[in-house]
Amino acid sequence: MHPTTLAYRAPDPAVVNLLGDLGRSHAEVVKALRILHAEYGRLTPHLISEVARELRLPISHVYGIATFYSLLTTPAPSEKTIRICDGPYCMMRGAVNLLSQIQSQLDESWTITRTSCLGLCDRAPAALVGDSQVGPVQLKDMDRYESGWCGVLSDYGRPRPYEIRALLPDPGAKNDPLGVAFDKGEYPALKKALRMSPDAILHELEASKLRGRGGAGFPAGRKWRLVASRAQRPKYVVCNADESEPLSFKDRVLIDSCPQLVLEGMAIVGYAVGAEAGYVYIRGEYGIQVERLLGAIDEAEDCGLLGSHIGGTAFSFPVHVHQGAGAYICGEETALLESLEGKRGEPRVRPPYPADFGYRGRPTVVSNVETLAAVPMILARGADWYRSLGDPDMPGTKLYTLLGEVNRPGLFEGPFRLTLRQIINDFGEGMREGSSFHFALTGGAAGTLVPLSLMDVPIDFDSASRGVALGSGGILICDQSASPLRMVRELVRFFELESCGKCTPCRIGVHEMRRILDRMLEGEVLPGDGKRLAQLSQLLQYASLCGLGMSVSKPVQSALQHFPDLFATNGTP
Amino acid sequence: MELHKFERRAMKLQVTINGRPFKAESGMTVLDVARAHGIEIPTLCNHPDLKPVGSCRLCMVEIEPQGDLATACTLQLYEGLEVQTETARLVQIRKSILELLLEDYADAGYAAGDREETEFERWLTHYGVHRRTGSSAQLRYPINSDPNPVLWVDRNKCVLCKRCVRSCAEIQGRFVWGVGERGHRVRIIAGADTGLLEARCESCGTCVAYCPTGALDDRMSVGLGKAERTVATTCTYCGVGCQLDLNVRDNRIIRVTTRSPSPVNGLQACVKGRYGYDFVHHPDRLKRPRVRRCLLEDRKRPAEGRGDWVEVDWDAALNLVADKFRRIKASYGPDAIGVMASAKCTNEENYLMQKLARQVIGTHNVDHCARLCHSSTVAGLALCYGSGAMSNTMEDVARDAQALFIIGSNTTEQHPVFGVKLRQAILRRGVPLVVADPRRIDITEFATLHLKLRPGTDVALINGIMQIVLTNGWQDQQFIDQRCEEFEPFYEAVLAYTPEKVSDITGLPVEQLQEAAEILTRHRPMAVIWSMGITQHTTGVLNVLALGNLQMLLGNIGVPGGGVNPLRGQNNVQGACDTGALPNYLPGYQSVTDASVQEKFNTAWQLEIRNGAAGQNATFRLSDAAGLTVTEMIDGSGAGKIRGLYILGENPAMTDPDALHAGQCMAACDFVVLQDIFPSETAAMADVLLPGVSWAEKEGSFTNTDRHIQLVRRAIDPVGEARPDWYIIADLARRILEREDRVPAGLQAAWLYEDPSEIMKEIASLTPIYGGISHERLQRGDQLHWPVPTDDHSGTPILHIGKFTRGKGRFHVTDHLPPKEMPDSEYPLVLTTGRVLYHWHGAEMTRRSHALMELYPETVVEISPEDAEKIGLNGKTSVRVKSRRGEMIAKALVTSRVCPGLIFGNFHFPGLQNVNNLTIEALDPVAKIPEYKVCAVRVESI
Repeated sequence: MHPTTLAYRAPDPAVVNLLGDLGRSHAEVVKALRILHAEYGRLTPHLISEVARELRLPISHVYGIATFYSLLTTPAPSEKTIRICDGPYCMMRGAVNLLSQIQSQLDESWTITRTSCLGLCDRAPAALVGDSQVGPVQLKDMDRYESGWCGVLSDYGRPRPYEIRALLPDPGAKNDPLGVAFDKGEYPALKKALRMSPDAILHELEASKLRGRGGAGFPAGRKWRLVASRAQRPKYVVCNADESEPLSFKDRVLIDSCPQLVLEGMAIVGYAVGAEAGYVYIRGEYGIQVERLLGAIDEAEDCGLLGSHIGGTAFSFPVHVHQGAGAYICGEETALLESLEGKRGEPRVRPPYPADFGYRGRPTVVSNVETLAAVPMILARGADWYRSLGDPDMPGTKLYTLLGEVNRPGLFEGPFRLTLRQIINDFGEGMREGSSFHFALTGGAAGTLVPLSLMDVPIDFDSASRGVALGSGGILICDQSASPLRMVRELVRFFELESCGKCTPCRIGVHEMRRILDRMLEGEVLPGDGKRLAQLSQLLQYASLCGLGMSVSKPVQSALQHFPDLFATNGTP
Repeated sequence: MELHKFERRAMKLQVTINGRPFKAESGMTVLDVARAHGIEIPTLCNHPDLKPVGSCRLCMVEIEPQGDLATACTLQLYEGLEVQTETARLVQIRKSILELLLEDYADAGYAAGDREETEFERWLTHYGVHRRTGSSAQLRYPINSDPNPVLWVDRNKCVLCKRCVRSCAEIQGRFVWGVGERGHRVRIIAGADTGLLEARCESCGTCVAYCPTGALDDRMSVGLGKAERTVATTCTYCGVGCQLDLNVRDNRIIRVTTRSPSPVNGLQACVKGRYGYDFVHHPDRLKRPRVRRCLLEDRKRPAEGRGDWVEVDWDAALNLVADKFRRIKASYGPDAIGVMASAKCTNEENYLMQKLARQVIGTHNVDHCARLCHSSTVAGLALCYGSGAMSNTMEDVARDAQALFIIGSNTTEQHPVFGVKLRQAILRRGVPLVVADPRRIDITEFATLHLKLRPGTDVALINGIMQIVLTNGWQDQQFIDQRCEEFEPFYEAVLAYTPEKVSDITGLPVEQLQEAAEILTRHRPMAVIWSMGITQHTTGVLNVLALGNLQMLLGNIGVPGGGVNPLRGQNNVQGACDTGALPNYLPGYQSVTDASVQEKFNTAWQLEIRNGAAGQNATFRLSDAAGLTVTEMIDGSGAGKIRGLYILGENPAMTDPDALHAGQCMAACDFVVLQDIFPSETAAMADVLLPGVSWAEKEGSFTNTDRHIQLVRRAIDPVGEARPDWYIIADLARRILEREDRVPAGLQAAWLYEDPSEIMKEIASLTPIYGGISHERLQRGDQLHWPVPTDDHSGTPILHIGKFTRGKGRFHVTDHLPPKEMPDSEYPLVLTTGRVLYHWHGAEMTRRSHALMELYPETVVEISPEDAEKIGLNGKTSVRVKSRRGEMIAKALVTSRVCPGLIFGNFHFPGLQNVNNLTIEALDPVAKIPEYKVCAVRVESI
């Protein structure tokens, strides 16, 4: 090495102490960087080198992480930072103007910046002030946010008409909701599971026809059976709580209202597949939910329901919480695993799938919060009971997050196979006065733009082929004032900002698409732009490395299909 | 169990590519099979040497019957797999991807004429992709964004294949390159987005070799145009023997490239090999012979020095030298002449040097710098195993060793490409590494255990480890019983080295000794690797014997991945020894005292008096006493015993211990001939300078550290009137014989060689271990490690299989002895010496390489932070270091690489900057190697 790099530098005691506290674990590098960023406001080359030296990691590796996660890249100490959400719904509720208005109102000590959907759509326009979730943000309340006020919380305590509640607490229910059982110091379903053979548990879960709630709808029992069948050890259960899909906030509400159900579900799956430990990977913007989960884990451990020798059996299952630092891509299961290992959240090529090569290369379950939360009730009440809920072919309940120009937006629990018409009229209590349905965005940013003609398509995990995606259950109803072109541009811009940049089609293709859409919005289209947009979206569908890239094509292709005139360039699409 | 493993490995699969059936093995990818059968699938991010990442998406193929898409580089084969590699849809996808890459790619054109086409350009042409109309190449980054003196970084041409990132990590083990930001803003970064050097870049250029676009380029070659030809040759620097392609234009080397796959190094090279070539064209090159004016005018030498130089023609110079040597021989006898051969020169030249000494002059006074590096290895291993060379190859050590023990070798700096192979073994196979070194050298970053022993306590350490092995019964008793002798006395002696006693001597905690013994015995075969840290001690031979004992004790001999692996320093130090440039051995380690050997050479090299009486004209008979070593020749010239010196490509004034003394001795010598490419520091004491040529200007062969004989090929014409060294030596020999009226009579006695391949024929005919070596075979690509007894023998990569060269391996009792000079109150610090990555020995070449001097411009002494404080360095950067013999002035590098009480200096810089002003000429009693590694010094800040 060059002599200058060999010169002695005294270690920075701040970094040494911090990493000592974190156990010098490579997986904690993101946490260490978050803490240093909060303290110094900027991750300087010095801090990055010091962290690398203490952890014995390459400097380039730490730098790569420090510039990957959006919460680490803002040049400001966190307590003086306001991040305004520019998700599709917050935009609709005036987030853009808000940003400039706040900028003019606050002094220079504040840093005001945008951020991708915060999962606070029910409090739009939302923001993070420091680490606190705030919303709806109103200019007149700026002083109060500083002193810790966080706006108005949504109340999902009582079901709305037509709701079927199985997951969420239902004060009026005949059976005690399972989430309440913990108040008595029990995980009743886990208790039952520990008396069963892993095979019997898996059998029950498979029989329930439960499908993964993260968006793809893969049969959950089958995935867990695969991991259970692997001989390699240790194995892990990872709960994907990186809920970052625009319009989706169901996992946040679940963790807020019944964290024990999620943990119990993890423990049951852990027992069934023979896992040694569980990890909850939760997005960096869910600070309060992290606290909530950590508190819940403490309580459960105190009751002997998590940790070692659960219920006096040989089964031990500690659960750890790992907080992300701002990256939509980490919701993709292999990117999540990379991030969990303390790396940049770049997806791996699949196969091998996590069932074979997961966390630290071991067989790993990666399942969504909502999926895992459904496990205790299936075990406690049986697969037959679960199949009796909702639609027989796609049984159980689903959490929907309904937003937009309806009279009663917000989260509700319902069966599969609802139509948009039912959702708007029955659950949303109709279109808002003065609004008429123009189009909907279903399934989040990775979903579909749905025209009026598809109002009566029953929505489930398989309905995307009929033009209406369910995804993770986010639905945005737009009226005549909204433009599908602008919506698609916003979604593509979101994907551009959130692309990890690993594969060519996504890194450059999405950037190109956004530039074309910008031109279309500005009315400055170039010849062939429309055709190129379609071509690029097909390339992304065919050639992207991971689901994110493939997702980009969904809203674009549905918009091109249903609203071709808007994308026409000089009359020639 | 074994059978099962075998079956799994050999599992055959039937797959179909483009309708053609292929047999393949499980574990391969579609791309592997396609490549093996010449089916072209475009790739950018993939390289056969690197782990596939599937990120450029260019190699997508369709899986039949559904037409599912997958990247060929990551698609693992399975039975019955059918793929199509070039459908209309795939072509469309590839075009789109290339088009996208082209959107972000901007070539400012400065290197347009440097290459035929890059890999990226090749695919653009292949698929007929052009920049889209309306889009323009925007330079998003500076075209020359890194100040590194050898690497050129232009991110505008980067396609984010990340081969640089992966080759730096997976091949080089440095992890300098990384990826920063995300999405469309992703770019390659060095360290924390600093300059490459700050990011701990070694400037090896591996990333350049892997770059498919020219975004990373060789700075020195940018804009120099295309090579007219490339010439494959063997590197001139260290003993690893990397294969390099010299790119030549207008009779100049304009670039050095590497090829994959090529033996030894593949695409790798180190900073010296790849970028240290410009010394060849340095203005200091000797272009005509020079003679001192007083000699020409037959006057006495001036009182001070030797007077002016006069340039003369070759006849004048060689006649003068021939006359002088003949006269010295006539007046003082042949043993008054000393011949120093050169580990930098070819096998053929070294053979000629010793033939000149022995046949023409008639003395065994021939030696070379191996005396100063591995004479203790050669002596020690000859005693215990019967062969002084590295027993295994770099390849099998890197591939098969289950544990590595590096003791006294700064492998990653001195044998960089082998160091890299060891890093790979550790990174890829998780091989545990134990390093014993007083300094925290680079490779300790990869070590399971670093034993920071006190300098000069190696015997105690090795004995201590063996004591633990024996008390636990971990030795390989079967190996010892069947293949070794003299175990009992050794056993008795080693038991005295209790962990406590050894801890006292070495300064290492008892637990570390225990841990080392466990690591080294639990993982077998274990390879022990050493270099100057073992040999350059007054106990050099004992150190080697102790390591020989260790490997016999553990049964690590004669197996791939084990063995004794002394790393030879110079490009051809192994070959110079092999070809007899040693005072006690004729070529092939045939002893000068062996009567049958003498007989053989007396016949082969026989000379007759011209027109002499029949039957009485035999004039040649080998002396039967060994000659003088390098150090003895130098001392002898000071004492009047040596009257004439013929030095080929060595620089004793720089590299001998107590260099001032060495200089005084040579100054006193009657007649010194130096044959070199530069007027080195030794030139000041020379009477005649004969301009030889660099390795790029001649033919021949080098033998690398693992006994691998490889060709050196001429790439350019000799500079000026310089001549290939083999040609000069033969010419001189003929002139001396002519003056003595002697003519060749023996079969190998003549000095008429058309080219070096004829010299190699002569070597082969007289040297059993080289018996099957010929330039024809090497030219054909035969990879030969000696012994190669016959033409049809395929070489001997691993020695001592089944039987030691000497029969049974012999255990020796080795006892710890302290170094000659220990610190005291007057000279309180220990000085240890060595080399650095960027320079080479006396640095006659590397100090004349522009880039290497920019990277490492002056001598540096490493001092611990604790000592720096004691000395009161306090931010000052210069120090004066004094020993009982002299002083040096150096830049101080305060670093925890050295521990308190120890400083480190290098011998690459001349005059007051030379650490050999300080070193002690204390010799190992057997090998006569000086103790460069320990002496006592004092440091003052200035």
